[in-house]
Amino acid sequence: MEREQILVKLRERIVAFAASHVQGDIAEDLAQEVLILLHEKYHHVDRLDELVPLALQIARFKIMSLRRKSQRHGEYTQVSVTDIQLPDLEANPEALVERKLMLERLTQAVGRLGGRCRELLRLKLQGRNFGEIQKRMGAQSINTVYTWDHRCRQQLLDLMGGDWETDKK
Amino acid sequence: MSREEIQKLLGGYATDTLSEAERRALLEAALEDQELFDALAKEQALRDALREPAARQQLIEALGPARAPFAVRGWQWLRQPAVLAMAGGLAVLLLVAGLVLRQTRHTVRPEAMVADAITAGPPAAVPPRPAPVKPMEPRVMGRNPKRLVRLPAGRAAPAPAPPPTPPSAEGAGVGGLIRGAPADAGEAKSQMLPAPPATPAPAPVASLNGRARLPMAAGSLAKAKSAAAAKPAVPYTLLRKDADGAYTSVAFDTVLHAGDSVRLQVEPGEAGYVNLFQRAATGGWNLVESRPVEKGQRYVVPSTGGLESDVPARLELLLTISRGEQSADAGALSATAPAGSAIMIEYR
Repeated sequence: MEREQILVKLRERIVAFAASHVQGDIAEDLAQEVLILLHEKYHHVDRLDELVPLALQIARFKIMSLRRKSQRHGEYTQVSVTDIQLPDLEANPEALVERKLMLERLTQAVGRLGGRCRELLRLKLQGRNFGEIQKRMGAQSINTVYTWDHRCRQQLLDLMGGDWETDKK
Repeated sequence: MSREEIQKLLGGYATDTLSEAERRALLEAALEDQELFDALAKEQALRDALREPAARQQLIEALGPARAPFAVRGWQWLRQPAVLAMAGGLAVLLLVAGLVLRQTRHTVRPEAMVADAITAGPPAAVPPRPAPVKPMEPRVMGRNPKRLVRLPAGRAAPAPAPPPTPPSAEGAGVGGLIRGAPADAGEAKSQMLPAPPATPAPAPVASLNGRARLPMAAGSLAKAKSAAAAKPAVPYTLLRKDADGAYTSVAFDTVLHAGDSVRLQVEPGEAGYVNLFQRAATGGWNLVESRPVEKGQRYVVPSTGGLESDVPARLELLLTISRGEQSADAGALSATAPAGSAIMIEYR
């Protein structure tokens, strides 16, 4: 799939996704800004398996920034492209705090997982792919590992209140 | 991959553990499926958090020590003292059970041997006189077959070989259709004994014991029981009136014709009364004769006249020995005959 085709589809998906978090016109602007960033700053990225995660990461940070500014000022403020550059976001103290809180919740939640899920998550965190996990855990087929992982992920998500970032319980 | 299978790859997206093919399949599907794209976007937060090695290490530590493989865990479980103790206890239990079972089997075998010895009795040890019938009970002579009921099927020792004594006149004319009890007619017929050639001389009753063991097949409880039941409580010899008017012994399977008159010659092992009953048409027993007898003496019953039938029929007789005289009252005996020597005589 060509880069332009990927970007067209990405825009469509990002608009729909953002619309569920912000107002419709803002969602359009958000998607447009993501594409501009991809075009200007990451024009060398053209592979699907790199473009989509990058687009998702930018969109997420942009939505987070919109929320923060909206909460802070009580009004919506347009976020410039330069504000959502990833290196800057990595150093953002608020983002770091949020990430730390999320990690704490994750740490508590994984401690309540069952034995198999803990082992599966450990292998994943160690960088093992599903094929390797299948051998290590003695699963009969890789589909079995997919199923185990799907259930464990759901269990972990439930333990975290249904959302990775904020506890909705 | 189906949509459901692709959705299962979501967990690998955050930890970045998908293979090249899996990642491509997931992302291509996400571009076409808004729901999957939204799910992927939600996973992005976790993906961002887990990108840091320090965060991964923190979670790995929170997960605790790695779980050993199944075989290792199984081995470790087996090495627990409690499991070892249980396994040892179970092994001892099985060992004891096996020994007890073995001991039980050994206990049964001699019992079978005893049964055979009682039934068969070595011919060399049997005197020409009839073996005494023990124990003598007031009305019923015979061994209690219940003792043999406990023999497990197939455990009875093989019947001893027939005595080496060649066929002689001693074995002739003894017995008939012998039954342990009238109710066992079918079983008793299977016990019909081979008949040596009839001789005029009355055969000693002792030969009856020798014959009684012949039908016993080796290793069969049922047959052991039958053999025990076939042993007559009162040894007897069948006598038939010949053309000269004298009663002579005949083989048990001698064909009797209408008009033949028969008697029984008994030689009791104990003093008392010998009683001869005949099955009545009503099912009860009619006392034919009850006479006092002495041990080791020969007597003929009925002492006068004989038993006969003018038409083809079957006479069912019962021979018992009692300490007292049997009442002539037919009602003294129930419809079910007591244990004794049941005799079937057929007229053709």
